[in-house]
Amino acid sequence: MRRAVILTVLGVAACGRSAPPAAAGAEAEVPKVPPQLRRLSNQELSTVTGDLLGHPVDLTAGLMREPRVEGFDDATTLLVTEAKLDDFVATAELVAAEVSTPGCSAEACALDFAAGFAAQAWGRAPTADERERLGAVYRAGAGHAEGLKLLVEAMLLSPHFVYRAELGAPSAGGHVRLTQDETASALSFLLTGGRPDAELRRAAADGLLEIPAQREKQARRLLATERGRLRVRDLLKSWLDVHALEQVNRQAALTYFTYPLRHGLQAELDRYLDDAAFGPVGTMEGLFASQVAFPSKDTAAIYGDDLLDPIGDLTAARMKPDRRRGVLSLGGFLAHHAAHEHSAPVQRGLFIRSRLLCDEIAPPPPGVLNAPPNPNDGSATTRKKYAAHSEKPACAGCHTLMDPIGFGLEAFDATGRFRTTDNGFPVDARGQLKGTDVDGDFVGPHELSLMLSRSGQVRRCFAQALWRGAMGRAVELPKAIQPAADAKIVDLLLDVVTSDGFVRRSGEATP
Amino acid sequence: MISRRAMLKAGAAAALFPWVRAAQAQTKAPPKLLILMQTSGTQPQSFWPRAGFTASPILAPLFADEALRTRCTAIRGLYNHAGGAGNEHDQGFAGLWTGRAPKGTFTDPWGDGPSIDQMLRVALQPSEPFPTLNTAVLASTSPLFKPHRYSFSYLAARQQVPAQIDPWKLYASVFAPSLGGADAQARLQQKRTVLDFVRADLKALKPKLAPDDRAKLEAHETALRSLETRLERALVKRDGPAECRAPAVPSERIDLLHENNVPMLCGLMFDFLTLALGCGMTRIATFQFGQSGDRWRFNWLGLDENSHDDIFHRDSGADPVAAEKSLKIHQWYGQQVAALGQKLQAFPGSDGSLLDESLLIWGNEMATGPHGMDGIPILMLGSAGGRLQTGRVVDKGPQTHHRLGTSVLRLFGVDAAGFGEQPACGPVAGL
Repeated sequence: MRRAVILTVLGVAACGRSAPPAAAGAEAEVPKVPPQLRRLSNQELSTVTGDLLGHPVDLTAGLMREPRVEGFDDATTLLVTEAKLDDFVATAELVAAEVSTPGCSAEACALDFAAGFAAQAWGRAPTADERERLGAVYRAGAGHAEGLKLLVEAMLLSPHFVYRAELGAPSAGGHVRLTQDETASALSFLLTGGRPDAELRRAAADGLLEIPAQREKQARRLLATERGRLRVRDLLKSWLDVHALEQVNRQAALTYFTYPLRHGLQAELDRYLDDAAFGPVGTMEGLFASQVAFPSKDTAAIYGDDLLDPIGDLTAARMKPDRRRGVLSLGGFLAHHAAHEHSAPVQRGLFIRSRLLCDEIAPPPPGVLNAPPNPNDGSATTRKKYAAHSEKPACAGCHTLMDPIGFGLEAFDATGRFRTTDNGFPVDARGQLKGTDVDGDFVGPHELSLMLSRSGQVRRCFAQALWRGAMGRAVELPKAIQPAADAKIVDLLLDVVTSDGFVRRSGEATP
Repeated sequence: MISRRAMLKAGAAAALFPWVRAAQAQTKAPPKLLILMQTSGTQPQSFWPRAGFTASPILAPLFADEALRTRCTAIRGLYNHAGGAGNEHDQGFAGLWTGRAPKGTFTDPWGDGPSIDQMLRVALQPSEPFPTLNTAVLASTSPLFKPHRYSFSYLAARQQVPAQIDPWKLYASVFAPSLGGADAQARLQQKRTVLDFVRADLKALKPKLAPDDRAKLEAHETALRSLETRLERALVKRDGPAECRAPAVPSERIDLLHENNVPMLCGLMFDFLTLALGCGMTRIATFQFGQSGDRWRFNWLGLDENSHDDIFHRDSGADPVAAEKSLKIHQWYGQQVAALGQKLQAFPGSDGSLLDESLLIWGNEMATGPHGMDGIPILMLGSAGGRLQTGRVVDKGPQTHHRLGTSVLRLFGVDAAGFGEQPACGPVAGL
């Protein structure tokens, strides 16, 4: 999944692990994913609950905070512990308090209600056995209203609500394939963050989702919805790991890096990502190479004189092409990927290397303490203080793969502002990319962005990230998915859902 | 479980709950465990007790109270050389209590097996409403940047048990569930119908899953049992000390993410943990001071630096300014542990104090701020109900940290020859 970096040609110590040998033939295309239950993430729980209530709700702030894995919700880490169950109980009670069956108070009505409710809550109709058991739950209540509440609580505490199933079923040829309902669910959660809508459920009921073209048709429809747009934005944010911008704190918080500014940077980033995916360009190239930002009055302090057009209210404004270009130049990205009191060139470089280029960087040799230089030491630039890495042979092998990337962004401080001096010394923003498919020297994020915008490695890395989102865990991207040079972001998602691997499972766990 | 249910139906509820039994002059209750986890090592020269088991600068707040001092046990010489993915923070944080080196990559390492709190949950099947309670203060000025460092508790490989950081939620969940007035018994029966429905669904799904995911559903089943036990207990008139009958829920909410609230949040959590352990709501609890490798700035101590980078990393002997700041911070941790110890000591147990029937372990992911892994500071409080000889330093030279796991399992009645990746390492020599 990760490209291992071996740089013998460059004469530096080998860095990274060697890639596992690829399995031969078609078997390599079957994702190594066992039958799994994927617990709803906090965001998904909130979305699905809103659908059940018939009006959107945002429950996420009150839900237990949980880890993402490299920016993504991950099926292997989301659990129902005692504390988490309380979240589901509270949600079930919230919904149960609002349901009713106007004009009817018989068990038959409750079970009819349950059938429609299950479609939204479970993504499928209840079986005959489930109807019978739900009837028993209903009858435990004293009267219709109470019975209905209990029935709803049972349905929302049921694993069929708490998890989304990707168990699969044996198919011809001995492979495990997702069922139609499971395929609908996988499509819908990947592209909308919620359970299938009526049309998608119908397609599943008609057995159409076996056919890639039908999956594509549904996917195109879902991606054109508001929810689809938000979901693509979220996937991009997962890849770029920029979910927590409003919480980011910087030394400058006491002066200009205030909450409204961070909020403005987040709003701009969201707007930018929407435009990158759904605007007139829509390509990976555009994501990295676009010259248009969406600043607002709140973020004016970050952009200074870096713009050619006047600042509006999250409206398009061209960035000076010799200063900023693409998503890596946005204040939000640069401020997110920095440290409290400095620009964190090594972290920025490591992030771009490992997450945007999918290169795995080996850990420091044992016994090496990665003690960062003192940020309060004002006797040199940040770059100079970190340059020691490349002087020590034991560190250089890997650090030459990441530090020079971060150094190339040194003209932007910990809040994403352009600067010409650092600690009073002139900034040296010469950077270098090596060991990639777009190697070369560069200065500043605008030049780095142009290089990355042409990189097949970056495109493939993004497709790998989407695949991770689709599978719910880190698994190798099928070879069949080969993003083209002019690939649109939305097309990459279509490649994912139309691939055979999307509906196939190996039946064994990833080691 | 089944027999308990059956007897409950027969109307013998009160006699069935272990906490009720414990309240009835029982002499030897099983011990209670509270694991505290600190990040970024300690300052060794200021940590270990001085000759005659007297105060060191860091332990001074504990040793100033003779009742605590005599109940302390320090374990010296443990090392963690197991390595694994990530760096020493991850190796210690996910390794100390699983006995396993983390797996994954340098930037994405995860615990590779169950941690001791979850091992004990499985081995002891505690009948308290909360088989384990995993808590933390995770307020931080820097956003939680490494999710794999949120919690050291694991159900199984990669399956991290998130720590609850909201004391109000903890009170609500542990002490407040109510089934309403007169028809409470009927309501309990209704809730049981719901839970039975859910359990049947889980049972039907389980065989369809791979082993790892089956473990997830088992945890889910445990959570459902816990919920049911809580509901059952809501029916029983609360017994025991007044604190348990009407726990004082803190009134004013404060920001759980604001770092300057850390001292107040620690105090709230310690009050809560004392009640939860003392009132028989759990016997296995964990608490975490921030996330692994946290960058707390310790404004409340008059400091304002990234403590991880600019204080702990520099605390290697050569930088007296960093050493002084580091000591100040470690003394603050000492005060926190002392405050918690005093709360446990002041709370009545079935035979002596709650502290006497407990084992509180103050652990750390590393030995020193500059990522040293030799001499991990371990301080125990309490005798686990007389099972541990306290008031001494255990120091039999270097020993692998896995032995600590073995010792703790044995203190809790689990017959273990080793721990984690060292199944035959034996217990801590000299303990």
